[in-house]
Amino acid sequence: MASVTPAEIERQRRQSRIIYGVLAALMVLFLLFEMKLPFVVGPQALGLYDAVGKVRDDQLVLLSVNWEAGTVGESMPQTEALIQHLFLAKKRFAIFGIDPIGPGFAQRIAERQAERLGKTYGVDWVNWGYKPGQLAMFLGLARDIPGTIKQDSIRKADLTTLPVMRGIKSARDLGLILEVTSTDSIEIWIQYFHGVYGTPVGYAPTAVMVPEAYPYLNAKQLVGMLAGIKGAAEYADLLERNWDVEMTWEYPPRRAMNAVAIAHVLIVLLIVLGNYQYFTRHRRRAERT
Amino acid sequence: MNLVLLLKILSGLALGIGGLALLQRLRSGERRRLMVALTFIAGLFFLLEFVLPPGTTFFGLVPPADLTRDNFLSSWVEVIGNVVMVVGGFAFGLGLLNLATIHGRTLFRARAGWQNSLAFFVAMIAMTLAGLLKDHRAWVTVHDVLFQGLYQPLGASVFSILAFFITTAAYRAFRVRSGEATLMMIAAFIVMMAQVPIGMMMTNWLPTEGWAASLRIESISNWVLTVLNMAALRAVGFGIGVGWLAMSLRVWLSLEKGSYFGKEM
Repeated sequence: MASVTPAEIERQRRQSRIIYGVLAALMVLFLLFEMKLPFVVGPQALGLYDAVGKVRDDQLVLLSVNWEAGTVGESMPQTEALIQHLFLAKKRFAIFGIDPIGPGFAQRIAERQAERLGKTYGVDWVNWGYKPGQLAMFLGLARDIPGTIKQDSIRKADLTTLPVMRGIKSARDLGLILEVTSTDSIEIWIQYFHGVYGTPVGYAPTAVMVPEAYPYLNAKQLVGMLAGIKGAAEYADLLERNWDVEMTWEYPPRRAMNAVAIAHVLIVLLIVLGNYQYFTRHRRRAERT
Repeated sequence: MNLVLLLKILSGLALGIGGLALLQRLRSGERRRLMVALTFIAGLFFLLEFVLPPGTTFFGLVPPADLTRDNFLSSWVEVIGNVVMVVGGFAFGLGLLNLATIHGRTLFRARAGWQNSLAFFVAMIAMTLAGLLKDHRAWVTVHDVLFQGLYQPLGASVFSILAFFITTAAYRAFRVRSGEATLMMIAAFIVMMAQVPIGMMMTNWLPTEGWAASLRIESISNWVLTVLNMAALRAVGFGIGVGWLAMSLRVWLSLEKGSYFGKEM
């Protein structure tokens, strides 16, 4: 293998700095200024949107939030989009997580949106909090929700005393499970809730996890999906089109989408440029020999 | 925290430490036999609980709580789940102890990088205190500053650094050297561009309905993901599933060898 000369290392370092600089500048620019770019809502986001609408009044939506600060850019707009829709569509929901950080983030969003949309804690929504994700806990949750969760995480009140939990006993009373996640936690809902009780499951993963979800979507084990920030932007589009209420965002998904768009374009251009340089150098070397 | 809960935690802790001490006193062979037996019983419990039909009793002696959905083992699932969580808690404590020992040694001996060890202790103590006392008014601000002002942006920053590495890696490493690499590049181009509005603009002139709609970049990307990608993922998933089953059987029957299984640590 040919050794890399110090001059080559220095050249690569210089190139990296230029790429970092260009990427950072473009991202900041696109995050600061909102641009209206053409947008197509995919079938996965539409499927999830319709599934929320189909939840019956006597059912509860379980919003499972399993993400941490690292994916806040993608997972927070997804969570915010879903919470706004649940509030607007008057669907009762419970925040829950097997990650200790996630439910806290969702609670912050729900409190802000509830205040804005005039919703009441304990009546329209509840936070079940964090439970360690042991299989036994999931099996218990599917059979007996109040017996497994016992009390909510804000007031520490007995779950059965909260109006939001009226008539909710087991997985059969869940109209939809929404999993917003940056971890590999979807299979448990599919296996033990959809598989056994037929509970519909919706998925909102980060973009890198999206390809792995397609077999479940194809098998109708997932009713829909929000694919990373693109999914959040699609959902925001659906909400804006269908509800005559102004949507508010801590991280506006459309703006983030535009920043991601320019990063994708830059990556494609760099791949083309890298290949052009590679072939030119290769040809020059061939001509010399 | 009420007194009963505190007493329960303390007695659980004493019982756990006593159990670990007792385990240490056993001879190596005896200890292994005990662990093999416990692993097998634990695995058997979950297997039987899952496969036995609802209404199954233990020779007519132990009836299930709900004949329509439970068998005689079902009522123990939660209890055993709690035991698993307690054991997991011990693992967490051991991990913390291990980290504190390593960083404490680096700090007190002033080895290279002692500043990082100091940062570890400061962060750990501050976050623990802020987390435990966050319900007290005086600590709310401290918790918010540490969690929302520090932890959250730091986590997001570390993750976002990936974008920079991916961009430089795409420039350096993505070379069209073979037919396979060319196919991969075409697929990557379609999927990446279909994810973003700028990419969608390329085929925005095509109609959204009819056969021509399937030539739009987002339709081609959807086909790549739902047909080509899905077939490959199903194959990988099937392989992993079979491997997982074999691995589970090996662990359950204590056939697995290595540092954590057959050999002494």
